[in-house]
Formats: sequence, structure tokens, C-alpha cells
Amino acid sequence: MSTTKPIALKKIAFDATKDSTFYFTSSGGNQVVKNKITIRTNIDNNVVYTNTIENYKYEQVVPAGTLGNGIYYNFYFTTYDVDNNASENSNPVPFYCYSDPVIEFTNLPTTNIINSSSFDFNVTYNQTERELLYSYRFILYDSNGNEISNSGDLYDSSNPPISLSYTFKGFEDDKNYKIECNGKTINETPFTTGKRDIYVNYYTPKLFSIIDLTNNCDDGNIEITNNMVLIDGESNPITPTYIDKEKIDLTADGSYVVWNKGYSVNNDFYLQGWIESPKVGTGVNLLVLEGNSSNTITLNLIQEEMGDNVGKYCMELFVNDLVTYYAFSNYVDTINKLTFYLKRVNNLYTIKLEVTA
Amino acid sequence: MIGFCGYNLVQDINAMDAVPTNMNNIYSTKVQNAIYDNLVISKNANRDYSVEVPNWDYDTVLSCNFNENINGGNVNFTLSQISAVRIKKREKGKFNWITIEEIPISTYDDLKFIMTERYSPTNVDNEFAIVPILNGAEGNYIVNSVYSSFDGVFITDGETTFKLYNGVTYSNQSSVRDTGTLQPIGSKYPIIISNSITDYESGTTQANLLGYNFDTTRVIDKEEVTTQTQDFIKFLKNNKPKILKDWLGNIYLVSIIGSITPSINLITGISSVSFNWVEQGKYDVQIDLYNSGLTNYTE
Repeated sequence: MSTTKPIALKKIAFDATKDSTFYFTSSGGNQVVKNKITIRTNIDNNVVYTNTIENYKYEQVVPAGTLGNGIYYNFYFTTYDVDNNASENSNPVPFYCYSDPVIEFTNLPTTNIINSSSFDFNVTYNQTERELLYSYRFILYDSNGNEISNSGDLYDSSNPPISLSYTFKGFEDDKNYKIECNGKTINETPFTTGKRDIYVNYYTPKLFSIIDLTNNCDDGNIEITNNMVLIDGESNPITPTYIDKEKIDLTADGSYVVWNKGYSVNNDFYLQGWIESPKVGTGVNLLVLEGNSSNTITLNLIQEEMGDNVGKYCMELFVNDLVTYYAFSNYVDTINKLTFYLKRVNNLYTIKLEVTA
Repeated sequence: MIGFCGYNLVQDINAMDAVPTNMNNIYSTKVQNAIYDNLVISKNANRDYSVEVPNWDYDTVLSCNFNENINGGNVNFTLSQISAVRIKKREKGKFNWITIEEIPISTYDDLKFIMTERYSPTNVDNEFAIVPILNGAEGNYIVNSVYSSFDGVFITDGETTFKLYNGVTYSNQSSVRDTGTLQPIGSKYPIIISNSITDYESGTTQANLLGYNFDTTRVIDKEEVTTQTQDFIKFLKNNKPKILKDWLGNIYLVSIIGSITPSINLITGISSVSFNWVEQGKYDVQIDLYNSGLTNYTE
């Protein structure tokens, strides 16, 4: 028996600043008790590193810093039996050393909260020696780490750094997910962003269903009803003045908001408004409802000038229809913050005023 | 009734009541001369007085919270922003949605639509989403779910659906996977070669037709059975891929192949039709539905 020629195994590109293990196989012949690795620059076959170790394993670790990034090398193994008989040199295998590619998300919110049911994930790929990207894929996992969707393999052969993106659609509200982008370079160095946690939180109406679904058992289908309602408001001025992002200031002369498309009110109705600092006076309308025949319903606030309630405030309703119609609310002492209610039942109106805290 | 200063002057029990008005079709609401925090109009005039701002419900006509917007509807975008609405579906627990319809929106009335979805299997939690297309991109998904429970065997090409519920059988059903067998000389066992990824179902379905109205009349109308049989055969032969699904939860995207075999009992009038089918794709894969003409959308 003699030692047999080992076979050096493929070596994918790696970062020379880190330890890396080289492998070979050997079949038949005397038992291998020692191996020697020889690494040469591929351009001129100058030996840059050799090392012999006594080891039964078919591998050898090349220490960090031994080689340089951006250089094309080749290596081969020589094996030895217990009598120090050397084998033939293995086949030479070329390989690259490259710095680890860097890939990272660029647009994940710092809170990791996504306020939308779809999100365009952006990453940048970079590599110091400008090693090209071969393929990449975005992978979406559920909160348990189970893959639920992926982009499939995507390709980009531009010179790094490059930006990559992919949109996942259909995130559920109030759910946790994990997102990862991984891939490999043209020299097969793998890279990954790692799995990043994301939480999806966006507004959904809780009580009212914008989409109604009905299972039609006998017909074998599902009926879908859209309850989406669009009512665009118009304002003067066009850019209204908001207060604390939750109120609108319509106290300036000529300012208003009007909704006159996308709905109609018929028969009985209930109207409620929450207001502050209203203007007072007959003819100073706080609200105007208008019908098709230019008939109107107006509400305004007046201050009593005589009688038991002098100085107090009430709301005045005026309906200008085929016949005119007046109604008055209860009295209140202050008007800084009010809620008014207007009900119409069988064409009779009830109006109520309430001071709110 | 005489109207004068808003009061009834006829000497009856309602003489001093306010005069009713009949103002309808209110289409415009204008607010002014105050700081407004909220405004709500509802069809429910029996609502209790409460300073709490109510959530949008089925009676709400208009609601605006003035939170940096003046939208009176239940969505936070305007007609000028929205170009279409996509209807999507998926089984609960899966991630990928299937677009089943896209409805262009150019007027307020375009949003008032009802549609029917026919490709869901029975006994499954289905999620449906309405997705507004805002400025060319998908907006937030508005999702609801429904448990599907269907009684019968249904076959549909997306436009026409036939319900089969009497004497329905599947036969000759097979799950096809192509392999080759080599018999090498000197070897006891053959070599199996499986290079193809072919993997599909095929089978034969047979059902009795009892007439379109049998469900309600419980009477077999022989003329109606004949008409239904002719219609069904024409439907099977229209060359369109179809969804075949049953009450057990099986669902196949199929094409009808071979001959369609009707057999008619001249005494009872009952017609039995048998047809062969072969699977063409999956009912929950967008591209399969698109390639089969069951949806117009590839994503």
C-alpha cells in the first residue's frame, strides 16, 4: 500500500482577515496522518504559504492575516502516511480572497414598526474589492421564523455599492414578522442581513367593516360588498388652519369647510357637532345643510336679551323649506366648548345644546 | 294645513305644534364660524345623546374628525388620489394574496360595488382585502375574513357556474407523476428515471341533472332537465379552464378532456353526465389562474 493522491475540494471566496478551513479528500492507500497545504498566487504560482500538521482530519485551517484580500490564489494538499511517505500533490484549486461583503437594510424604521400593509425593503450591497453580486433574495418569515414568502432569486451585476429593493404586500395589522436579505457573490461568498424583526401596525376600523363578506352556501360563492365611503371636503382657505392636529379653526371671516359630493341625507337623521369658541348672532350660521331645491337648514347661536334667561345662550334652528320652521335648543351659560345635537324624526326637529368639559 | 310663522292655526290638538317640513336630498353640509373638533351625520335618529364621538357604523352618512383632514368618509384619501380598487383573497395563514379583480374608480358611485368570488374551496377561513390604488401604488389593505361552507359540487369557468348535487361521483382519479423505467441487462432491478416535474391530478366526474328549479319545486321537469343538460354539455365544451370543487374541500383547476357522455333515463327524465378532466394548475396560484383565464391579473 502507498499513499494516494488527495483531491483538494472547491474553496469559495473568503475574507483573509479571518481563519478559514481548507478541505481535501483521500480514498484508499495508507492512512493519512499528516497533511501539508501549499498556497500560491495564481498569477505566477509563487508559494505564499505552506504548513504541515499532524491530523487525521482531511482539513487544515489557514490563520487570519496569512493571505491578502483581493488576490487570486490556488492551493493543493500533500498527504503523508505514518512512515512519512508523501503522496502526489493534489489537484490545484484556485480561489479568491475578498473582504466580507456588507449588506444592510437602509430603510427599516428605527422602531422597526411598519405602518402599512406593504413595504418596499431597501438594502445596499457593498464589497471593498468591488466583488460583483451574483444573486440575492428577500425572505419574509412569520414571528416563529417560518418562511412565508420570498422574492425568488434576483440578480444584479452592477458594480458595488448597489441598492436593491423588493416589496412585500399584504402585511396584517398587529403582527410580527422577520425579514432577511441574503445571497452570494460571483465567487459564491454568502452574505446575509440576518433576520430583522418588524412589527406591523396600521389603522383598521374595528367596528365597522369596509368590506362585507357573505358565504352563499347554496351557490358555492362568496359575495363581496364594498362599504368604502369617500366624501371629499372643500375648504376656504384651501389650506385650512388646524389646531393641535385635531381641530380646525373656522373662526376667520369667510373660512368654511363644505362637503357636497358623495352622499345624501334623506328622511330621519341625527347630526352632532363638537365645537369651541363659536361666533354668536342671528344670521351667523355655524352649520348649513342644503337640499336639492336650494332649501336649507341652518344653525346659529344666539344670546337671550330679555326674560328669565337673559345673557344665556341657545341654538336656533331655521329650516327654509316649503314652509319655514324655527326651533330652539335649551339654554346654556357658557359657550367655550359645546356639543350640539340635531335630530329629525318624521320631519320634526329636536335641537339640544350641551356644555362639554 | 295653513302655514304661518311656523305654526298651525287650525284648532286641533296639534294647533301649536311646529309645522313639519319635508326637506330631503340634503347633499351639502357646510360648517363655519367656530372651531370644529368633530362632525357626525347618521341615519340613526334614535341614537342616544352622548358627547363621545361615535365610531363609523352602517348608519353613518358623514363623519369628519378634522385631524389634519377634511374627509367626510370612512377612508383617509380623496377621489383624486384613488384610481382603482383591487380585490384580493388568500387563505388565512398564508401570506401571498391573489388579485381577483381590479375596479377602476373615477366617480363616487364606482365605489358602490358588489362582486362574487367563486374560486374558494369549502371549509376554509378566507381573507379578502380591498386595496385602494393611491397615486399609482397600493394603499393599506382593508381586510375581512369569512369561513366558506358550500353545499354541493360546483364547476365554474368564472362566468357560469353549475351546481351538481345528485349522484355526484369522482372516478378514475389519479395523481400523475411521470417516470421512466430502464431494464438494464444483468441487473435484477430496473432503474427508475424521474426527470420531469410533472405532478397533476386527473379524473372523471359524473352527476345527475334534475333541472334548474328542482331545488325549490322538488319536481323533475323533463323539458327543463333536457335544457339544463344541453346547457351543461355546452358549458363543458366551451374550452375554458374551470374550477371544480366539492363539499369535502377538494378543489381543482381543470380542463375538460375527451368526450362528454350524457345518459338519459327516458322514464324518469333524469339525465346523467360524465366528463373527464385533467388538472391545469392550482386555484390559489395567481399565474395559474391568469394562464387559465380565470383572472385578468398577474399580480
